[in-house]
Amino acid sequence: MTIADFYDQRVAQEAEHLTQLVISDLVSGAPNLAGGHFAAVVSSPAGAGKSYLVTSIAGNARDFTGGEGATIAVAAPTNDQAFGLVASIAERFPNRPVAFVPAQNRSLPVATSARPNVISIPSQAAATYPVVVGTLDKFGDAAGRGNLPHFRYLCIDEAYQADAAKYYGVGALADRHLLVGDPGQLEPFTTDDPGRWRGLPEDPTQTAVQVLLRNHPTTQNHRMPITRRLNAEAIGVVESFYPGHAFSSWTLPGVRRTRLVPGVASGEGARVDAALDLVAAHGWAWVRLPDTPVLTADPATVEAIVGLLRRLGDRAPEVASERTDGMFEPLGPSRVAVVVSHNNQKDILRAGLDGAGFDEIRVDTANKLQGLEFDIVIAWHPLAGLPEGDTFHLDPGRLCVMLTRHRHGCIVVGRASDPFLVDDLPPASDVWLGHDPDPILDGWFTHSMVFDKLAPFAVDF
Amino acid sequence: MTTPAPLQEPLADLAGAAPRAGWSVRGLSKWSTNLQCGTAAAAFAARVDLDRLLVGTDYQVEFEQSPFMRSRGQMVEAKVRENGYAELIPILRETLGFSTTEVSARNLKQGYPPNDRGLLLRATETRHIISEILRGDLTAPNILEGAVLEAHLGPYTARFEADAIGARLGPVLHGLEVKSWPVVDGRADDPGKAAEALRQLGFYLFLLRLLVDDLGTDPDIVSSTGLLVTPRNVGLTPLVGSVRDLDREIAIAQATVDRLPDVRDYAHVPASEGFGPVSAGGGLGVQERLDRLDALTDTFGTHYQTSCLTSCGNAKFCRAKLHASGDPSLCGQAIVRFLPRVPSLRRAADLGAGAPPTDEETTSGAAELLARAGALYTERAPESPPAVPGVA
Amino acid sequence: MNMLEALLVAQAHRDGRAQRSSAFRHRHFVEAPMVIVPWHLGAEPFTFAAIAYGSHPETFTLVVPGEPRDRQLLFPLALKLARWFNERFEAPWELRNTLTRGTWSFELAPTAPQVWVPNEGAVTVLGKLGRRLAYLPTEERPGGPPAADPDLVRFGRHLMFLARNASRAGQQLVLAATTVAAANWATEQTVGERANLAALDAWIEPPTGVHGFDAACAVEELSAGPLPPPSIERDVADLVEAFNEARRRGDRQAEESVHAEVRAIYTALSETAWQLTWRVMERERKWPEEPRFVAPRWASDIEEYSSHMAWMNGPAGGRRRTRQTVPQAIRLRASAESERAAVEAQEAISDPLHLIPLLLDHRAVEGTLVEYDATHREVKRGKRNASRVPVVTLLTNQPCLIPVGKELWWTEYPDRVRVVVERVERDESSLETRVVLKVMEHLDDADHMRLAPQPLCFTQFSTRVPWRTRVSDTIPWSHQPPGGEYDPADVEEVVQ
Repeated sequence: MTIADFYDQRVAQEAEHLTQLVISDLVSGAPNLAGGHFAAVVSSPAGAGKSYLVTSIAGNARDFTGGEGATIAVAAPTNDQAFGLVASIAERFPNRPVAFVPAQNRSLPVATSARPNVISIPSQAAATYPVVVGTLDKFGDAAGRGNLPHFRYLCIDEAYQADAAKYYGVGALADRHLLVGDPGQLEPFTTDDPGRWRGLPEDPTQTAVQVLLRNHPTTQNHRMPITRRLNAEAIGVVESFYPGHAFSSWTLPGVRRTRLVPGVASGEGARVDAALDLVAAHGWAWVRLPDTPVLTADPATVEAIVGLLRRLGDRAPEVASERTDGMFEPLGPSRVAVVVSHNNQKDILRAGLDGAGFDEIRVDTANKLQGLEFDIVIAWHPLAGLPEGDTFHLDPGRLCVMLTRHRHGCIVVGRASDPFLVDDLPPASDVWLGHDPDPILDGWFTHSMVFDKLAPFAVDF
Repeated sequence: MTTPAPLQEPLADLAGAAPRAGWSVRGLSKWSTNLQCGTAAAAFAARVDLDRLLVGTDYQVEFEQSPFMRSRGQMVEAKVRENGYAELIPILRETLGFSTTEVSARNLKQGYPPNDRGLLLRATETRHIISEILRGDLTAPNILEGAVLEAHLGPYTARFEADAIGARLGPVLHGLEVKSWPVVDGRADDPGKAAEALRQLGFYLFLLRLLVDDLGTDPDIVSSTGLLVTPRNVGLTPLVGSVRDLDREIAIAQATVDRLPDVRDYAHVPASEGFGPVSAGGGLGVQERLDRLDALTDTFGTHYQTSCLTSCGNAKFCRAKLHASGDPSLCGQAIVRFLPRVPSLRRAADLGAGAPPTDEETTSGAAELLARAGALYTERAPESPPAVPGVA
Repeated sequence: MNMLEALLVAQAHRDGRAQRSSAFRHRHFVEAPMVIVPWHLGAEPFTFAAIAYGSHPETFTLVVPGEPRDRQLLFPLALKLARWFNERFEAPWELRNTLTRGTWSFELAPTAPQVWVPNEGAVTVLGKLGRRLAYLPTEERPGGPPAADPDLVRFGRHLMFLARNASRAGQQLVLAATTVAAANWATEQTVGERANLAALDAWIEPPTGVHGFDAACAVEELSAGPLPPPSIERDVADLVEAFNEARRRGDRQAEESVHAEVRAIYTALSETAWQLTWRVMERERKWPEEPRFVAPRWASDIEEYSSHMAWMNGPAGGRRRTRQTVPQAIRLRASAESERAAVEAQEAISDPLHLIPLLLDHRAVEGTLVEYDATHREVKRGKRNASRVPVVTLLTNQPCLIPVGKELWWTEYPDRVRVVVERVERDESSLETRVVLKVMEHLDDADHMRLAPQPLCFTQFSTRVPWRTRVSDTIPWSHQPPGGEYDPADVEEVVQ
C-alpha cells in the first residue's frame, strides 16, 4: 500500500496550501482592519486537523521572530483543550520549548508535564518564552491584572466554542489575531435569559468569531476544505451541518473498512445484524425503534443500544485504515462510544453497559465528547421519541457533535416518529432584528435534511 | 376568493351555513401553527372561519386585533407616505441600495372598492405594473403600495394584499412591510410580532416569485432581502429600516402552500355532518350544535396543543373534551413526555397512589417513577396551613 | 416539568384543585407592599390607559388620562402617581446607615420597598413607562419638548431599575402574583393558562363543590392586565374617540362625562385585579418563609436597592445607560448566571418537596448514615503524601444510578462539603442500596454528619459562588463596534 492508495492528494494539498497561506498572512500580511490590526478566521469542519494548523503556527513561531519572548499566545476555552494543545505542540516540535500558564488548582497531565520541552510558568514569566499556552479565562484574568506581556500574535483554538466574553479578556493581548474553530459544533450556552442581548453588538453570549466578524467585516474568513477524522462515506450526511462550505475526506472512499463475521438470517437478531452490516458497509445505520411515547431516559432505547453493542462484540469486529496500513485489526471497546443528549440517559446507559460487561465503552453527553474521536459511535438521536421539538433538542450543534465523532461508522438510534417532528412547519420563534441568527430555524432545517440523508441507511426494529 | 365550479358542491356540503373565512396571510399562518389537526384542516378546506363557528356557545373565543393597533398602523402608513415618501427614500438608499432620490409610487389601497371585485382589479393592476417593471419601463412606479398578489393554491385562486413592493434598477424587486411597533434601543420592541412580520414578508416574496415566474422572467430577480419599516422609539416617526434575508421564510411559505388541504378530499361528507349544523346559522339549539361538533371532531380528529388557545376558535371546546377524558396533552406536550403509555391523568394519579401497573406502564418506566414520586410526596407533603376549601 | 410535577398535575385533575408543590414560601414578603396594576392600550406600551395603585387591600387610587397618547393629559397624572411612588419607594433610604469596612464605606438602608403587580406583563409595561420617563429633559430647550418635572424622571428611573432588577433570579423587590402562585402550586393548566391570575387563583381555591377546571373556565375572561379583554377594549376605543371629539369641540361637559365612563371601565377592571393580587399575596403569606436562604437574599435585595438609591443621589442623578457597554454586559451576564445557579440550588435543596424530582432523577441521594470513617487516609491524585479523606456510607431504599466519580454536595453545607461517589452497591434481596462517598473538602464540617439529623442528603447542587474573571474597562480593539457605543436617548424624539 502506498500513500496514494489511502489519501486524497488533491484535498491534502489544498489544506496544506491554506495552512501555509494562513501562517504567512498572520506573520506578514498587511493589516486588514482599522487601526493597523490584522485578523483572520479559519472555519474547519469536524476533524479537520485544526490542531495541526494551530501547532504548525505555534511550533514555527520562533522562526518568525528569532525566538524572541512573547511571540505568540495560544489559547483555548477549556483546560482539557489547552492541555491537548501543549501536548501536540511539544510532541511535534520536541526541540522547542512550550510554556504553559496553568489556571489555579489545575496542572498538566503528568505525561505532558514530564516532557523536557514543556514548562509550567506563572503568567509574569511569559515574556521570556516565544510560545505560551493557556486557557482564555486564565489569560484574560492575568491580562486584566497586568500580568501578561503584549504578544506579537494571538491564536485561539476552538473559537466557535469561546464566547465574546472570554475573547474580550484576551482581545488586547496582540494586534494580530487568528481564530480557528468548527462552526458546526455546540455553541457556548448561557443559563441566563438568552433573549437579554440578542441582536445587540454587546451580546456577550455570541461566539468569539461572531463578535470579530461583526465588528470587523474585513476580517479574512477561510474555510478548511478537509476532514481528517471522518471517512469519505460520512461526508454526504455531515455536510448538512456546514452550509456553503465544501470539504472532502482526507482518506479515499473504501480506505476505512469495518469487517464483521456473517450475521444470522432471521428473527429480531437479523434486524440488529442488518444495522451492523449497514454501518460496516456504508459507515451509517439509522435504527428506528417503533413509534411510541417514551421517557427521556427510555429503558427500551438502552436495551436496543446494549443489544447492538453485544451483537457487535459477538461478530468479532475488525477495522482497517491508513493507520493500520490497510490491514485489519480487532476493534477494541475503547474505540467505541455512545453519545447522548441528557445526563439521565447517560446514567441509565452506563448502568446498562456496566451490567453487560462493557465498562470500557465510553458513554457521555455531546458536550463532553466534543473534540474526541472513536472508530464506531452510537448516537442516541436528540429527538428520539419526543412529543415536540424544542430549542435544546433541535440545536444543530448537538446533532453535529454526535454524527462527527467517528472514523469508521455511526449508528443513529431513534424512533420511527422522529422525522415527523420536523415535517410540519417550524414554530415561529422570537426575532429581535439587528444581527440575530435564529437557532430554532437553523436546527429545524438541518434536522430535516439529515433525516432525508439517513433514510437509505434505515433499519426498522 | 374565486371558487371554480367543480368546487362549489363539496364546499356547500362541508361548510353549510357556517361563517366563511377570506384569504389572508394571517389566516394561513394561524392554520399552519397546527397541521396535525384534522378538524382545522377540514375547516380550512371548506373556508370555514373557526373563530366564529362557536358564536353563541360557552366556548366562543375572541381573537380580535386591538382597535388601537389598527389605528396606530394606519397612522404609521400615512407617515411613510408623507411628503412624497421623504423618510422612506433615505432608508431605501441605505438598506437596499436604491439609487433613487425620488419615489414614484402607486398606491393601490386607494381608488378601489373594498371587496372581492376591488381585489380582483388590484391584482390585475399589480400584474400589469410588475410586467412593466420587468420590461425595464422607466416610467413604471418604483414603489407599489397595497399590491395584490394572486395565487393558485391547489384548487383555489386566492388574492393576498401585500404592504409594498419596491423595485430598483436591474430590475430587482424587494418586499417592504410597514409595521407600527417600534424599534427601541436597537431592537424590536416586540420580538413575537417581529417574527410574525418576517413570516408575512416571506410569504409575499414567495407569491411575488410565482407572479414573476408566470410572467416569464427568472424569479431570482425577486430579492430574498426583505425590508421592515417601523417607527423608532415612542412616536410615529422617525422611521427606521431593518433588512433581513428571508430565504428560509420563503421556503416556509412554499412548505405551507404544499400542505394546504383540498376541499375535494371531503366530497363524501354529507352536509348533515359538516360545519353547517354546528354554526349559529344552522338553526339548531346550543347543545345540539355542540353534539354535532363532538361528532365532527371525532370524524376528522383533533390535535390539541398549547398554541391552540391563542390561535383557534375551537380551542376551548377541545380543551373541555380533553379534560373530560383526562388526556395529559391538555397541559402541553411537556407533561406528555413524563407519562408515556399512561392513558390518562386519572390513571397517572392512581399509579402515584400505588395502583398496580399494566405491562405497558411498567415497560415504559413511567409506573415505577410515578409510584416512587407518589410515595415520597405523601411522606413529605406539608400540612396545609391555610384551610383551603376543596372539592368534596 | 419533572416527574413530580406531572404527578401533581394528575392529582390536581383527580382532586379538582391545585396541589402544593413547595413546602415553603421561597420569597420574602414585606408587611406593607406597594401594589400597582397598570393598564395599557394595545400597541401603545410606552404609555398607560390607567394605573391603580395603593398599599391597602381595600382601596386603591386610580389615574385615567382619557387619551393616553396625549402627553399633556398623561404626564400630570403620571406625576401624581410618581409623587406617591417616590415617597414610599425612597422612604427606607431616608433611614440609611453608613457602614465602614476598612477604608471603604457605604450607605445601607435598613430595609427595602417591595412592589407587587398582578403578573409579569405588568413588570414589562412599568419598565417601558420607566424607559420613556427616565430620559425626559427637565430643562426647556429651544425647539425641544416642554421641561418635565424632575419627580417624573426620578419615578422613571426607579421603574427602570425595578424592571431590570426583575430579571435577577430570586429577587424580591418586585413580585408578580402569578409567578409567586405558580411556583407553589401545580394545576391542570398550560404555562400560558397559568399566566392568567384569575384562572390560576380559581384552581388554587375553587368554590366548594366546583372542580378547578370549571372554576378556572368560569373566570378566565377576567383580565388582570395589562390589556383588557378585546370586547372591553372595543368600548374603550369608542369612548376615547368620543373623548377626543368632545375636546376638539371644546365641550367640557361631554369631555367629563366620557372620561367618567372610561374611568368606570378601568375601575371595574382594576377592582378584580386588585382583589386577586391581594388574595394571592395573603394566601401565600400564611406559608412559612423558607428559613435558610430567603433572608440572606432579602439582605442582598436591600443592598441592590441601596446602591440604586446611592446612584440616584449621586452626580449622575440615577441616569443609566439604556444599553450596556461591552464590559458591563459581560459582568452582568456572569453575575446573572451565578445568581441563577445559586438560587436554583437554594430552592432545590432547602425544600423537601423540591428534592423529590432530584432523587427520582439520580441527581441526589438521601440515606441514613451507617458508617463514618473519619480517620481514613489516602494519597489524592496529583499529591505525594496521604491526607485524611473521611469515608461516608449511606443506606437508602431508593435505587441510585449516580455514576462513580460524580461530585456531590452535602445539603447542610452546600457551599463547602464536597464528596465524590466511590461505590454504589444494590442488594437485590433487601432492595436497599449502600452508597459510599469520600469527603474531598471541608472535613471538619463533614465530621458533623455523625451528629446530624437523619437522613443525610447529597445533591449535585452547590451554592458556592464561582470564581469570576476580572473584566477590564478598556474595550479591546476586537470588541469595539464600528459605530461606537450606543448613546442613551430620550425616546420621545418627536412629541405627538
